[in-house]
Amino acid sequence: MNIEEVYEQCCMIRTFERKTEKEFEKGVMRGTTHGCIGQELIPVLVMGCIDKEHDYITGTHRCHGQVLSYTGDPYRLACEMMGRSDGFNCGMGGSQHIRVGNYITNGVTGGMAAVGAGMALSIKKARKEGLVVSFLGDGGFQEGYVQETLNMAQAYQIPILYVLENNRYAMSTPTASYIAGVIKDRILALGMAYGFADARDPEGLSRAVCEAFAHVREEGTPYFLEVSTFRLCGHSKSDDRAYMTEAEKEKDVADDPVAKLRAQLQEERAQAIDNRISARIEDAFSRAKNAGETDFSKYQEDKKNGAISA
Amino acid sequence: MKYILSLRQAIDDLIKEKNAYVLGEDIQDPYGGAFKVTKGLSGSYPENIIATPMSEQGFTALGVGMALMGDYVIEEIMFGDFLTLTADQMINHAAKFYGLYGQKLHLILRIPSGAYRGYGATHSQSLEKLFLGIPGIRVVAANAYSDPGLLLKQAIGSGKPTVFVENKMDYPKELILEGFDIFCREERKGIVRISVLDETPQWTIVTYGGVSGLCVEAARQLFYEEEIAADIQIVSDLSHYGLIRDAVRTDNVLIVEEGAKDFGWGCQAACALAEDGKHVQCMGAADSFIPAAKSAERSVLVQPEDIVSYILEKEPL
Repeated sequence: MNIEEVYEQCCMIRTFERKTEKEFEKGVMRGTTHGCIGQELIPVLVMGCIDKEHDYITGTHRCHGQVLSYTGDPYRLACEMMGRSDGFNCGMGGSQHIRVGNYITNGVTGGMAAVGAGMALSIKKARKEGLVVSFLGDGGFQEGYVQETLNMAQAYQIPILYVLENNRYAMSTPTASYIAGVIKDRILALGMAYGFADARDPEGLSRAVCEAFAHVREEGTPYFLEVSTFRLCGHSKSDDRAYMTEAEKEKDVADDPVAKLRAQLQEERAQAIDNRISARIEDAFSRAKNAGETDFSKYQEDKKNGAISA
Repeated sequence: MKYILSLRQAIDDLIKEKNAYVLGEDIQDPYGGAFKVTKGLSGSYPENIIATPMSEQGFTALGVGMALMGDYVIEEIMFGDFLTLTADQMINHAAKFYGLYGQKLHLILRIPSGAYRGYGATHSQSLEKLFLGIPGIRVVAANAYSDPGLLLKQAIGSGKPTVFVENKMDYPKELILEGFDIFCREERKGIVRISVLDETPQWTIVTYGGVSGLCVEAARQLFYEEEIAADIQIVSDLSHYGLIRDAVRTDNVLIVEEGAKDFGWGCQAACALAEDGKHVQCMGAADSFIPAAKSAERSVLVQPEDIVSYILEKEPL
């Protein structure tokens, strides 16, 4: 793991998310958004292992980190969230409905992990190279079709890597109080390969992600990676995390892996990265604010003609 | 050709031509599907007939994911009643990938539907109206007066996620693809018209799916016993209900559907016809669950004599 590179990517995601929070406060952005502050390291390390030509990724509603680490393009994400035509989906999808390249996400928790299994089945049937990475959360894990497709993924032996970001809360619901047993036991009961990593330990997470990819690439069969993590922000823009204790929040801040990465860098180098990223995000947002909007009737026409189809 | 064979042949063709996949419960041989539509296919195409566990929500998602990768996918929902389990993947996923992301999805949900067999409340319904009016989803209903296999191929070729309604009573029927006894058959723009030979129609019966046969039966009675000629307009692409405006050629129209009448397809079709000044009435099942007992089931569902007596009551003497 190149700490400087990984830190820079995490820093971009966090700066983007913080900027987003401000823009919502100011009313520059509308609708909703689901921040991933605290969880940045996971998409960054996962996307670092992607074969961009052959692999496919399904995301979650909490997708900004996934999209930024997949595309490295804060301008187009800001455009998408501001309804601008330079957005990944011409501004028609907004914060949680994004498709770009081999990445696709949607706004229903768990729904895309279920779709991802179908994509992996397609890869297996066509004997193609590549795999599917499906992100999901501890909340989405409880959806019926997620449980059904986990079963089928293992029964059909398809090349899918599940990355479950366990941030302890399904919105405000503490997952531990509403789950019978533990996630690991359910996965092992299916006979599926399971790995666990703690995002508080960047090196350990990096190794776990590499092992997970290696398993799916070599065996062509499912692997379930559970990552313990936490949000340092609300579930969505309207959430002040009243359900967390102050002690809990303080502990999470002390455990922040992005801060840990930064601490491993020389202060000068870290400051240079922070400055560079800060300028980049400011530039992305100011260009996005001035970018043009999509003519919806033209969008629909283009879609009908297949001009937009990814 | 029989209705079921037309479907089976179309699926066979789609596997050969498009490497289509079929997903569903019990669809492999020797069982060959609850209604035997896929019988024999898994022997010829073991890779393409993908049997699933009883997980409609999950395997619908598998089909959506495969279609997203460009595959042609036909999913069999054993009983149309279980369409409810597919709703999130169809409405919040497939329809959004099609509409929002501009993604063609060659995805069909085949739903064997309908009653008149004593199967009771959860194995007899016509639930397609749940998916009508959802942008990004088309609903097509086959009938025994047009080629269901051809309809299936057209639907999957369109690239728009489609709920494809089949009627269980129709599977064993011989298809009627030309005129028969006193009727002539004419097909245009996805609507089949059955009309009485050489007669000017006084009434039109608009219908779709499995009850088309009941409507023909009623029209026969009306003509033989009452000398009233009625056109029957059988619609297959339910989402394009507006097409009937060009097809209807009488002022009096009765719309007949198998499912519960209230808030049904008929209401929407009636609305379109009313704009043209037609006198329209809708007929469908009563506002009730479908009972298993024969006489009770009969009382809930439309019968040919209901159609005949309705038209006689309205018909000026």
